Amino acid sequence: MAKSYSNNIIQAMESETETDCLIQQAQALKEIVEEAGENLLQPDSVDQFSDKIFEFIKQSENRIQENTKYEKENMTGEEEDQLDEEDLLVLKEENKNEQQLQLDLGEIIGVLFKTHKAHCQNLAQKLINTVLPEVAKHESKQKQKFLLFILDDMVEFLGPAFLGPVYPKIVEQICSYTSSKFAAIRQASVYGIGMVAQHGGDAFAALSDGCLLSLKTAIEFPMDGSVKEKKSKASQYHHARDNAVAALGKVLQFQHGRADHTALIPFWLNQLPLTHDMDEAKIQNKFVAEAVLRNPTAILGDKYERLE
Amino acid sequence: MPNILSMASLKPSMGIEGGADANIEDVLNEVKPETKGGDKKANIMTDEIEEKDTAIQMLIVFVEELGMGCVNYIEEISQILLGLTEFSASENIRNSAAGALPGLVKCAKLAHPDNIAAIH
Repeated sequence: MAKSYSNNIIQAMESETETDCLIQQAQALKEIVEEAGENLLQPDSVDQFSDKIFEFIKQSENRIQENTKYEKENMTGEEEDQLDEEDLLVLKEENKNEQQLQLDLGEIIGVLFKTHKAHCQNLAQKLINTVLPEVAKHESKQKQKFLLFILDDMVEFLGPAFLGPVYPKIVEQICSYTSSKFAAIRQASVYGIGMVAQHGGDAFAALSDGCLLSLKTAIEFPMDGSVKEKKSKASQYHHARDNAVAALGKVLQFQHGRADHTALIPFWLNQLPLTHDMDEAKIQNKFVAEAVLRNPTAILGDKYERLE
Repeated sequence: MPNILSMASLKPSMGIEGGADANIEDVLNEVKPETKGGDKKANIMTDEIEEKDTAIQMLIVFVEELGMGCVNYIEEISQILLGLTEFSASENIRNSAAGALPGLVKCAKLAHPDNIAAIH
C-alpha cells in the first residue's frame, strides 16, 4: 500500500508543473514514509529514493535560477517590455514556494533517517561530502534553514555512533548559527543543540562547552528596534528564544553529570516560564515539576531560596 | 459512501465546438496554450470537475474523521485517488488526491496495526 502510494506520488511529481502541487505531494510522501515506518524500503531502494529527492531539489533550484535569469533579462530594455511590480511579486512568490518545496523535500530525508537509519550510510555520506558543503556556501536564510533542518535530523535520528568522527563537526556547524540575525535560523540551530543533548549521550560531554555557550548567545540575543516594531518578527524572536531555553532544559534533563548543573539551573529557571512556544512550554513545565518532586533542593536551592 | 465514490469517479468530458464531447484530458492536449514555463498544465473548472473535486474533499473528510471506520472502502478510495494524482485538468484535484493518501495509510494502520506487510 505505502509502496504503491509513494511510487504513484513520485511519478506524479515527475510530471507536475505547479509548485503548490509539488509541495503537497512532497508533504504527502513524507507522511506516507513516516506512517509506514521501518523497512518500507529495501537498502538499495533507500539510495534510489533519496537520489530522486535530490533530483527534485535540483529541479526546484533550476526553476529558481530560471526565474532569477528571467527577472534580470527583463529589467532592462524598452520600458514597455520591462517587468512591472506585479510581475516581480509573482516571481518572488514563485521562488518562495520553491524554497518551501526544498524544505519539504529535505524533511523527507529526515524521515528516511528516522525510519531507515540502518540503510542511510550512503545517503549520509553523500550529504556530508557533496550536498551540504554546497548548500553551506550560500548565505541566504532559506538555504541556511535547509542545511540546519538536515543537520538537526542527523543529530536527532542518526546520532554520534552512526556519524562517527564527523559528529563533532556537525554539532559545531549547528552551534555556529545561534548568533544568526534571522530568528528562524537561531530557532533551528538551538533545536539541533537540544537534540544533541537529548540523543548525544556520552558524546555531549566533549561538546558541552560549545553547545552551552551557543545557547547563551541565542538566549541573550538582543531584540533590535525593527524586530520590536513588527508583531510577526517579535513573535519569531520569542519563539527562537523559547526554543533556546527549552534546549537548555534538555541539557539539564538528559545530560546529568555532563554539564555544570549548579550554575545552569538558576540561569535556566530565570528564563522560565516560556511564553510563546506553548508545546515546548508544556515540556519544560512538566520537567520542572518532576525535578522539584524528585529533588527539590537541586532546583529550588539548599534553603529553597529560588522558591519565589 | 457509494454515492460519493461514484461522484468522485466521475469522468469529466468537454467538447470543442463542432465536435463531440471527449475525455477532458484529451481535449486539453489538443488545445494546450503556450506559456513561459513551457509545458505548464492547464487549470480549468467545469461543473463536472467541481462536482468531482467536492466529492474528493468529502472522501478526505470521511477518511480523516472515521479513521478505521473507512477500512472496507480503502481499496476503492485508493483506486480513485491514485488515478487522480496526475489529473491534468485541475490542480485542486491533483492536490487533494495526493494529500489524501497518507490518511488512507493511517486508516489501514489503525485497522490492522500488526499487518505490516499490508501497510507496506
